Amino acid sequence: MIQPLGYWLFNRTASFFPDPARGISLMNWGFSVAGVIVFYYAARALVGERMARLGSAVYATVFYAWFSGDVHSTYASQLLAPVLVFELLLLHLREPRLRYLIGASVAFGLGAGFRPTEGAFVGFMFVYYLLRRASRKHAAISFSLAALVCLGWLVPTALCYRRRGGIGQVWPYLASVTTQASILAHGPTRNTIANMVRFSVALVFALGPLLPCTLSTCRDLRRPEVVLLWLWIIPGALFRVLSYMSDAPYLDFITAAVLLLALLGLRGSTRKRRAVLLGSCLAWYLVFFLFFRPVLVRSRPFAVIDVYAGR
Amino acid sequence: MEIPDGQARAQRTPHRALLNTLTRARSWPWFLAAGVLVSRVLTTGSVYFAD
Repeated sequence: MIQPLGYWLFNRTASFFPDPARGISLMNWGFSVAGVIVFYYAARALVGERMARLGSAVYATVFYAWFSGDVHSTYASQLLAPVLVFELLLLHLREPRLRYLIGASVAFGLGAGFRPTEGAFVGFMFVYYLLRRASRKHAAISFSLAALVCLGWLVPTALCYRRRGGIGQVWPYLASVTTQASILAHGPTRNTIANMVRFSVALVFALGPLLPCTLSTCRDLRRPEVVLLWLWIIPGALFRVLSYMSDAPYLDFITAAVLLLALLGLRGSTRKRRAVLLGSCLAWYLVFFLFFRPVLVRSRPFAVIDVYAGR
Repeated sequence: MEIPDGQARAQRTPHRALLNTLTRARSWPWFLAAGVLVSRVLTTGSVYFAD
């Protein structure tokens, strides 16, 4: 049975391999490699060669992204799909050719199919761009194509549920999962606050030194790239903070956007400051990989870091 | 015959030539790809079917 919202596309793709478990590994390795390369090109277009290299090295080694590239799950797909959509929109912004939007539509449809719970939120950035920056004809073609690709995995998913007792069972499950740790549904309880802590701990643990640079780009909202990047982050992040997030790899889908904004925020800084901030992230990941071990302690703050940041 | 400065330096430090190749703009994506692939392949070991 596929867990709602369903990972039909991911599992079906894996089933084409002689050994599906090996197929999932290959897919995740591919997503990780391609995601880092696309990130490098997007960063190079925004901030130039030198910072793009450092930034892509950071993106390649963020600890939870690394972890999600070697487990049998759908997380790693979000290391590629959102940044690919963004890169294609960026290309279209600079040279308005339909082929870029066609590529973005397919990338969005597949990204949403591989992991709907995060991939679908890229839709805000995608739709905003089509409404504000694309011609009507290009927007209509792109909407239709994205909808078609999404139907390509939505219909088989619905058919799977129908065969297994009806699609009606999806809604109670979804309602339960999205509200049980939601501060909107239950107010500030230990459970709902823990959900928000899970989100913040992992993000600060991985990208803490760069977060002020990311936030500093709020002053530069006249740039269309900055608006797109914030639209990529905010809807999905809000959903996770206000509804449910179980562990760090859920952040895969916004990591590239947070880092790209940080690189944009760092552009005005001295070379030394850039090197210190990006280098400290790289050094921190190295220390993490070499020395992090879950430890059994009674201290609650340590336990939180152990479980949420270290997974 | 006189050896040009850069070439002489490269001959003195062969690893420098390799470093130059790796850090050239065109070769960086390949370097990244190889690094990410090797790191992921080497660390894949757990059979963990998460949601």
